Amino acid sequence: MEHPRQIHRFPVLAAVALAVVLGGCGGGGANKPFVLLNDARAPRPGTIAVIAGNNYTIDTRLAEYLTDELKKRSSFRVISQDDIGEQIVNYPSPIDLKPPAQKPDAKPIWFDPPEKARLDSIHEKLKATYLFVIWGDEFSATTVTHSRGGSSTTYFVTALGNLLEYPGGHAVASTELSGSNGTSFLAIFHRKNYYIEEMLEDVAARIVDKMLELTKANK
Amino acid sequence: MMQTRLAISPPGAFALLFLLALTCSACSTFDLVDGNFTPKGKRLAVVAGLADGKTALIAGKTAEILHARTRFEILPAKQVAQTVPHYPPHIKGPYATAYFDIDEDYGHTDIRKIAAIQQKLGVQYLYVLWVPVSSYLDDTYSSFGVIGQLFEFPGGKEVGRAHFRAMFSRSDPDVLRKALDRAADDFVTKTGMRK
Repeated sequence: MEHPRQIHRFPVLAAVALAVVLGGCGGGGANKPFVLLNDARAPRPGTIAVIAGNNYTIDTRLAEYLTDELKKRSSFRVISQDDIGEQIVNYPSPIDLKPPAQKPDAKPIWFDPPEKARLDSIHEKLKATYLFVIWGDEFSATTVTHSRGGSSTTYFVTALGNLLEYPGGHAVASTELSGSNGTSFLAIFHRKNYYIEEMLEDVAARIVDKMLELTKANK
Repeated sequence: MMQTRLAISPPGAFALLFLLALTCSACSTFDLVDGNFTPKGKRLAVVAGLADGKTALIAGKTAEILHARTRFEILPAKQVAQTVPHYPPHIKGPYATAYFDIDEDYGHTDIRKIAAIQQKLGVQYLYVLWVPVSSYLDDTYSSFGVIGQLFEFPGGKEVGRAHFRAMFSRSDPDVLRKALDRAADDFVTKTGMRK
């Protein structure tokens, strides 16, 4: 059984939360929206399908936002999430993550190697030139209760992704990008999950910004 | 799946989770849509609504527990898995989103897919369970958000709804078992089908 990834939200005292947040800042967060691997040539516009790496809402929404951004801004021919759902049996379902080895020359390929066969079979159905597999990892929230009353919540996510090029299905690019978003006093005017979805939308936009910069595939 | 690094580990959170679990031990986990429910048949299958290991595990364990406690004739999980193609299936479930909590939307379910599964299984009742939320605090303990619907056939009428949290321990199977026991108890009481 796959390991659960989401971390529950718990109200914590301000001092504790501050320590946690400061501790988190030490790592700096990942900021590699879209990096080419192995001196690979930049992907050329072709058909692309964004594949949610899991069936959690965080993964599927991230895939939707990435699909929308690519459709709006790139010259790639983007397969919709609905079309993927119609063509791939039981889409979305978990594609197991495996962290790359902790070596300086290790490539940031996030999926467990046995999953490559599943990705190839997805490609067989979709016939896309590129599969962009994306996960919303380390999804968490910290709620701070303020000493003068009220509270605020900050959401965090790390998007992990790989772009696979076909034929061959070689990983030609990777994504490792942290995002965060905190509620403001305007929270009462927003729908539930507004700040989470705004964070995901921003992460998707930043990935596509870098992807378009490298591929020159602007619309 | 990758062993995810823990981003936050607030002190006391573990105790809070247990407190929540204890508080909710008295909560309703299953409710009938119509209080005047009278079973029109006895054959029931518990089906996973998401194509992943934890949902299949919870559906399988629920079938096993119900088999011991109810007068419904529960189809064994193995038979369900062998009969339904590509089991566990992905079925659009009764929620719009499920980030930390499940945002219920009972009109969201893909009834056509459920009807197709019922056709394969030939049962009068399908109890479909989804586990779209999982939260963890350490490498041992997790908490699953579970939502379910009970459908009656022919017709595919929704007759019951489940919504509960289930604790899971990688080292102690009894932790999950106790949560599913409580949910199963509520199910057999409210359907009036206790053995």
